[in-house]
Amino acid sequence: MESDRYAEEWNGLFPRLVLASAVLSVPEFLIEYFPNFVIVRSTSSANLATALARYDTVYAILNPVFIPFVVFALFYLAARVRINLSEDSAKVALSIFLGALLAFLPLYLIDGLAGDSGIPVVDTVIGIVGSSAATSLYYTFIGFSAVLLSYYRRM
Amino acid sequence: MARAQSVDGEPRQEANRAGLAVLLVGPLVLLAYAVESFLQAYELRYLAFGASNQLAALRDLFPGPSYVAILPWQSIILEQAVPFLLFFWVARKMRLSPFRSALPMALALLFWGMLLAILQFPFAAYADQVVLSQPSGVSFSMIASELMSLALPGRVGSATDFLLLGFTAVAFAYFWSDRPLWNFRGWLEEEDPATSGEGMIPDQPKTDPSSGSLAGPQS
Repeated sequence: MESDRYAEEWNGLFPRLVLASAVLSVPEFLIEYFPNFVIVRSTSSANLATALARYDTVYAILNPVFIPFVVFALFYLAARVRINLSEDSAKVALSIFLGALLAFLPLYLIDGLAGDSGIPVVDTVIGIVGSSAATSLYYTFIGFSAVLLSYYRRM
Repeated sequence: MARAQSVDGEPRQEANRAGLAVLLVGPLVLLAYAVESFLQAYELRYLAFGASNQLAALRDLFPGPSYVAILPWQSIILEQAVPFLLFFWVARKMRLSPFRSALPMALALLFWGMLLAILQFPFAAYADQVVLSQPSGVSFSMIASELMSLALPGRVGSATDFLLLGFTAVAFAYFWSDRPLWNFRGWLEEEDPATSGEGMIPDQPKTDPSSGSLAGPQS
């Protein structure tokens, strides 16, 4: 049967894209929150300002290179499977979105709820869900475009 | 010769039309970004520092969700959903193809993405000053220094994000014209491939007539 050659929901499409999206989301979180996890805890207070300023310079270059360019390239490699976009475009987009949300939401929640900011917890959680959804949507656009390029090259 | 020109000219005309259509959506997206800047300034600056005592007292009596809860969702609606829907709508109306008209559309999207990324900071600064009723300090030198600053790689990244957002919207609109994006019935019932319009799939595997087998996978 010819349709067997295409990735289907549970055979190639959902697992592959959800997993790829979740895995690719972790480095983005680490790049963004590296100072919180490593620099602040490991640097002495005398050198903290210098270390953070140096990281800001690295971050200003590293983050835009990772999102969207590296993520696009990695999604392109991850999506090298026959996907019938004319039928499955929504499923592809949803898989990528869910995968990114699956990674971002717990990581953002852990980071956001760690300290006491004085803001009600409900507001913080609503805000964190929004931030995770916004980043996941950008991942969806990047990932979907990579799949689109892969589809175009197979045409 | 004239016929060859007209045949070659049609795709070029279509591509130019697509680029122009995407270019014309830009001002509407710019408006959405401006609204976002003013709403953000209202929530972060006016309500925190510029509001009258009466308004502050009213907010204490009826506390709504704080800016922490509102800002991300507001940003999703105005910076992602509105541009996506605008590009989707234009692509549906004009039957744009992400494959045939890719280059002019990419150039138009990159142009607007870069412009929006550059204007975001001056917009925010101007909105802060307007909501706090301070004299405007936004100038061309501010925009020029923003252009030359270390944030330039970030602006290029934002512009590329915007390009990919636009392409996703156009691709969704393109595939929507074939069939609904989500075939809910397909989740409940298995469709017969012979009747489900599979002949329309552009990269359908070719059948080798000599052996009767399918050609090898290309990926």
